[in-house]
Amino acid sequence: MRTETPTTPDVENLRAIARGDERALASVYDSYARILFGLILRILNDREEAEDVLQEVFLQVWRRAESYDEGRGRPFTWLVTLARSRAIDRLRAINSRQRASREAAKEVSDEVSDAATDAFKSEQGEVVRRALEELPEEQRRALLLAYFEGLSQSEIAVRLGTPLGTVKTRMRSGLIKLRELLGAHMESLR
Amino acid sequence: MAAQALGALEAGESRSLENHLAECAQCRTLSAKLDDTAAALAYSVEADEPSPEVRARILEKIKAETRTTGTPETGVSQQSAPSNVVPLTKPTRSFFRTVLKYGAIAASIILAALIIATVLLWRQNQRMKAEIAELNENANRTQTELARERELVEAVTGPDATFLRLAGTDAAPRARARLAYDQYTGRAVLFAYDLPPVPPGKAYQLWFISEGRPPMPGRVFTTDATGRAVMRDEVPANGRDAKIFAVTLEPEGGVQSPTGEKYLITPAS
Repeated sequence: MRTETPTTPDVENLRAIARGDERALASVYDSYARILFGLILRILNDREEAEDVLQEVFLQVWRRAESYDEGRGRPFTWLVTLARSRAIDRLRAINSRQRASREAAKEVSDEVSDAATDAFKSEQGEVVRRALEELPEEQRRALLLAYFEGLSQSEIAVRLGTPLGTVKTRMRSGLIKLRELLGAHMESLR
Repeated sequence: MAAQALGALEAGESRSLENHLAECAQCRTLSAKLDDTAAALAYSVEADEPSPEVRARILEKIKAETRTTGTPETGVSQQSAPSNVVPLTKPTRSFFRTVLKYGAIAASIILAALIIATVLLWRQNQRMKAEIAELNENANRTQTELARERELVEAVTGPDATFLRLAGTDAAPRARARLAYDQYTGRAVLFAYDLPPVPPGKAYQLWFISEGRPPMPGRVFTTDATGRAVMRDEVPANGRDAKIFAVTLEPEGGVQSPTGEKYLITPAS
């Protein structure tokens, strides 16, 4: 699992998927379905919807594996980005369907977000959690709102009652700080 | 870039950044690192087990897609993957897909064209058949008419043909006729003019009259609207010495011996 290695098993699998290898897709599913499902579930807070999105994500992996470009990032990043953006898309669709209950959903979502940051099971989770905890509260909040709620910078500014410029600075500083904190651990995070 | 990694850029901002990244390798590297960092946030969430049906559904769906898009070669999975299998195989799959996709479209178009062509050809064939039948009929009719004309001409122009003149009687003073008659073959053709219209149920009948014998019946005929008639007959062998020819008005089926009034007759010679 080293990024400097030209071809990791993940990269090999994505290439095999691009060639139409079903076993490679099953292999990627077995490696990442749990973490991706956790992420999707965290965003949607609805098992049924989350399973549907997870299925969508892997079908997209199947169809678009050939568009994966190693030069642009690691397979794990590609998978997570895909899963997150599908989940956020679904969240927006659900929100626009259920405008009335949106505020309530947000409350629940915020609670879950706090609960989730406290509940890490895996070793990698532990590493990321500790790094997040070291971030200043306002930076962490901006990162999590963007990442799990799918809010844009200006929406976060409105939500937090903070000037847009400040939000931008917090997100930038937060992510760069997080990267420094994760540092050596990044390699183990695939 | 941080906002991009976190998915917090508006579409417009996102495009501008993409454009910049395409040109700036340094930013590209930083961007990739930030993307990796953001992806690590996924670990901050507790992993969870989706129901087993999801895996089954996905594999079933991709099998179905594989079946409809052709049979991609079996690739390499995690453990057995040789590290030098490189992306050259990617276009192969999309190439086959493209070929299959456009092949299917082309096949549908060709099939539709064939069906249309078949229908058009079938209809044309039907039309041609009808035309041929009509032409055949015309040809037959023409031939029949031609044969009849030829007989007529032969009857009239044969070496032994004689022409007789028939004059109208008091019943039809304006009527007249000519009779072409070959006493060796018995062929006779009557050309009649200005005969009065035939009353319903009646017809004109030609008679061959030999001296000392009862008149021999010829055929019956009617005239056209102008009182004209052309009538072909064949005189039986025992009536070929006839010297007198007459036309009477008789019941339309004809009779064996004259009952009606004479309308035309050869002058007694």
